[in-house]
Amino acid sequence: MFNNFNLSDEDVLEIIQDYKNLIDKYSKVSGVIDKDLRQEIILNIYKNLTRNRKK
Amino acid sequence: MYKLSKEEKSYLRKIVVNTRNTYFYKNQYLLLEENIDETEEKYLISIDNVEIKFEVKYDSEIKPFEIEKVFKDEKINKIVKALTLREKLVLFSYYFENKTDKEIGIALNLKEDAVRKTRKRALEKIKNKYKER
Repeated sequence: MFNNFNLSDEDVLEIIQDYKNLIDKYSKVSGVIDKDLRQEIILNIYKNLTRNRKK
Repeated sequence: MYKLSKEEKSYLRKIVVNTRNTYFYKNQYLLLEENIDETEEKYLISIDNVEIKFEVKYDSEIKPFEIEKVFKDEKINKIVKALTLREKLVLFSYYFENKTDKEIGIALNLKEDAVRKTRKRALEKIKNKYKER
């Protein structure tokens, strides 16, 4: 569980960039990257990582 | 730069896997029409120098408690069917979801050691029963 409340947008984008290979791997449908699925994965990561962000 | 802890890495992986599963669940009718047949042959165990392999069909709807369906060999099929639910769950998570023992432990509320022992016991069971028959 992510308990860091202070991740900036840049930090989150950096994490997403670091995990690009994993995201691409799980975005494949019939051997081809499904862009909708990829986008949904990235969006979910972003939502989860910024869920507890202090306002 | 923010460095992820081990737990966070595993959590991130779960987000990715769960999103994929939800996506497939939501779009299953569309995806079925696409005739997906991406398969991969995986190695399970070697018995008397004979490698027992099985085919993993990605995006198929095999459930953890019916993993015996992936084995074409009827002998193996029956042996795997007779395994306990926990053994099936561990084998499923390890070979189909590519999870580590630690991740499986978190999901099943077991220690990493217990997961490894369960997995080895299951493989040993398959090996011994295969030789018996």
